[in-house]
Amino acid sequence: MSSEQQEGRWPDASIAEVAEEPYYLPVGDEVEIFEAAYARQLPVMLKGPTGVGKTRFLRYMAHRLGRPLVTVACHDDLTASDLLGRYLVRGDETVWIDGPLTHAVRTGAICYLDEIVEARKDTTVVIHPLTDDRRRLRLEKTGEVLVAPPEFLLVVSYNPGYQSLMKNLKPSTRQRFVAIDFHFPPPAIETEIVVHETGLDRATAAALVKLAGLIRNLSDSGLDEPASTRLLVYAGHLIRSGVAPRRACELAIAAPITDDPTVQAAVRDLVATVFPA
Amino acid sequence: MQRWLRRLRPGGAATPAAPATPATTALAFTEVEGVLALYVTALSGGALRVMANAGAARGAYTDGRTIFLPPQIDLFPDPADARRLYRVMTAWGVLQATTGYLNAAAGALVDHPGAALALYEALAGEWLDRRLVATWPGLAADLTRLRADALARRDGVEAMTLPEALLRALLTAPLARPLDAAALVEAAARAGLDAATAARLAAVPEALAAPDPAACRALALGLARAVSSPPGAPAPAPVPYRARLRPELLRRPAVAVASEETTATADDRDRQPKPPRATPRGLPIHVEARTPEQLVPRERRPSAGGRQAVQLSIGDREPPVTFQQVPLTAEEKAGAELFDEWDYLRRMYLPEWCAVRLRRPRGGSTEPVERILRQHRPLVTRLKQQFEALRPERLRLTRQLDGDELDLTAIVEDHADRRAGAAPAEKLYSRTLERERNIALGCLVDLSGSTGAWIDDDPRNDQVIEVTRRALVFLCEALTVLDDRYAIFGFTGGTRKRCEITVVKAFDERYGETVKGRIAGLAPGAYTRIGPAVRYTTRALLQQPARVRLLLLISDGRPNDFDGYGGRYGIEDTRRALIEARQQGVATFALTIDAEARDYMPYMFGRSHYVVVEDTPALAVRLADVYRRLTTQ
Ligand SMILES: Nc1ncnc2c1ncn2[C@@H]1O[C@H](COP(=O)(O)OP(=O)(O)OP(=O)(O)O)[C@@H](O)[C@H]1O
Ligand SMILES: [Mg+2]
Repeated sequence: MSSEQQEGRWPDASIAEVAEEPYYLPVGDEVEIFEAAYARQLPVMLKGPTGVGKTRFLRYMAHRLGRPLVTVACHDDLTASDLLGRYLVRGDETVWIDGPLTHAVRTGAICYLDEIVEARKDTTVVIHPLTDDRRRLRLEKTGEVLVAPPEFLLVVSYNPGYQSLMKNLKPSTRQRFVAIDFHFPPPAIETEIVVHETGLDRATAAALVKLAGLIRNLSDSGLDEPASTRLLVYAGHLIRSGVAPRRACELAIAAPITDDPTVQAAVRDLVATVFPA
Repeated sequence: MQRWLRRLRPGGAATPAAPATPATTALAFTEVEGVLALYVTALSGGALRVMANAGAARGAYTDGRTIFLPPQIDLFPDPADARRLYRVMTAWGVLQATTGYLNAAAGALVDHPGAALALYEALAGEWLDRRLVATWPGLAADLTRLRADALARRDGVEAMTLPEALLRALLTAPLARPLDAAALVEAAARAGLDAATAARLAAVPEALAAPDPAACRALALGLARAVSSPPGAPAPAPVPYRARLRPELLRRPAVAVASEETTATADDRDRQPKPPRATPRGLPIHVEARTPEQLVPRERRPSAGGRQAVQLSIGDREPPVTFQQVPLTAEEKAGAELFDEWDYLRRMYLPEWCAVRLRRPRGGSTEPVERILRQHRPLVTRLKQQFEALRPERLRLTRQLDGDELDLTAIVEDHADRRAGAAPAEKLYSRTLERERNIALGCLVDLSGSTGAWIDDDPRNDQVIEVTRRALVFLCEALTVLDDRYAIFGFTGGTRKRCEITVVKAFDERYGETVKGRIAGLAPGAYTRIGPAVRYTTRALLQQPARVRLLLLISDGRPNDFDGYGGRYGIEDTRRALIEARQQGVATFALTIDAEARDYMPYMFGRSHYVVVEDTPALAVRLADVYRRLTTQ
């Protein structure tokens, strides 16, 4: 079955051959670490808040390593069958359809389980046998046991900041991964990213990064998620298309990060502090 | 801008023909407090805070930790303008506290306030205005208006001293351009300064271009020496948006806030007085034993008692005095609840050894609590949301052997599986589970004298008890979304004859004005006799109908009391009291800010039943956090 057909069966997953090199500006030694982990067939966990370049990084690595990237967006209704595959009834026949994880194992792809904490515990356990050195995947229903080829790599992402307490990753799951920490890039690098992504002039991009720095100081004061690089990129795009900077920041930064009216007002004040009317 | 300016002028008399000025509307600090608290946190990276102070009515000021702002601003018809002024004042205060402005002023200037100080304020104020615009360009427009307003307000000032002329000349200069020496000299001459003196101001632009206000200090001192000003010449009236220098606050050094703006020259660092060395909290300091009677007046003077007891409660040695091991007299027992005490040396309980008396304060002003709420509203909202997740919920379990509903997804899948030849699945039902909480919490708060200590021993910081207060407010607020039964008891000791439990909130009391008033009124007492407090709380918890009972201790030091309850004795009795609690089904957990707690906490609470909060202010959130974690099912 071709991958297009496969993909059509997966509501929560997608598959991509990353043909063109995605733009990714390394912040530390994450590229080397990832390559080392890949060479050693060690599963990788990308840890960090939303919008700091985890997905972008992985696309970049998939391209670099020349492997297809299978991405699964995890959520709390995701069952083991959604990952492994299931029988479907077609007229008088039944057909087995590989799930994204099985597909990735079969084809030696990089399989990215995005926001793994969101998945239910009984779903996360199916990846356990894949993460130890036997690298095996058991399909109970077909009776198959797949052994992952060396090209296969399991990657999960995990945002330790926001999840409610109930959704903490079990140590038994967590400890199966090499963790790469993603933080907000230092100002110079983040400015560079915004410039590259939006084509904004350097001064305005630097001002956006400065604003983000101020807002991130509020993370212990009731802000759920601090302003991410992604939001700066969004604001940058708006400014590039002619929206006044203050307005762009209110729309793309202040409004999305919080519903709390006090925090909203404070963030708007910060916008007005960094950007002239 | 013209309109705005006119409104700013006192009396609004910009144009004589103008209609009567609209009345001004006062904007109270409390209305903007929540937003400003966040604003200052963002700008200073959490190093500074804002507070209203009557002393700031004529102008803001800062001690390097807190920016004190006027309790209200009543200058404008439109409150939005007052909001803007508060904002500029805050931003200005942040730069003042973080750029070396205060440090440069400390020393020579502050010790002999006079013309030099006034000159420094004019010069460094201008330096800071320019710095502000460069750092936060969005504030340029507001600042420009405020400068024009400040200038307009100076029309009525008669005495034309050098500082006054300098200030006016500087305020006239446009912010957007670098200062022009010739224009400045001319402006000063126009303002009424004699030509020779005015000429000296040619040095100003260079000083203002320096990366640090130290150059402004040097120039101010030089100008003051060169130009004899009449002694007792009036200090220039303050510039409304600028934070004033308060010499009395500057005699201690300002904080150096880690910030990209901080630039201190080596020269500057040398001249700064060294920060006072914090007394390490673990240092055993020998203090003469006092009789309990001597302690009584100290209890009424919380702050003094606090300092005293910090030292008393940390010594590791056995107390120097041995007390007579005699039962309490009838008089000592009167009106008290009695508890046994564990004597580890004799390996026995001393019966009815401690007399515990309850205090139920009437609860005074709730303002300290309201202020906490005003300044931390978003955080409280966030905590409530997190606690909401703890609400008993109905959980749908799928793929069950048995249940009240069929699991359709499972059935469909099973159908296909069987067609493919798989064995039929058995788990085809779903079931709904009611999870209930039914928890009782006894929160036990250390009110010993050491809680009167300032964080990091710096009186510009909060006292430990203020952090405790915040922690309790956060917990109570968060608990409003749950039905958990809880009580809060404060405890102190002044020998076993006088153990005190302050009932901050009883189990059957609502968290309302009275309780808020009691939290607001919490004050450090004397010693830390934990044992009887634990026994009292255990007893109270056992009287609560609940499935889970939890005793949560908030403490800042090891057990200690005057009459021999120090060192190992106190630890052993506390440990025993906690074991008793656990044996009766009360779970125990502690939060402590004592850095040395790892020496004795594991022994009393068990290895994983306590947390040491390294960063004292963080205790405020940790309490609610810990409770949430402990009671998550
Ligand atoms: N180091 C980087 N190099 C290039 N672009 C980056 C980098 N970091 C962030 N970005 C930009 O930020 C945007 C968001 O990044 P990305 O989508 O990878 O975030 P994420 O960490 O996967 O977030 P989430 O957890 O929400 O999925 C990217 O589209 C890209 O524009
Ligand atoms: Mg992503």
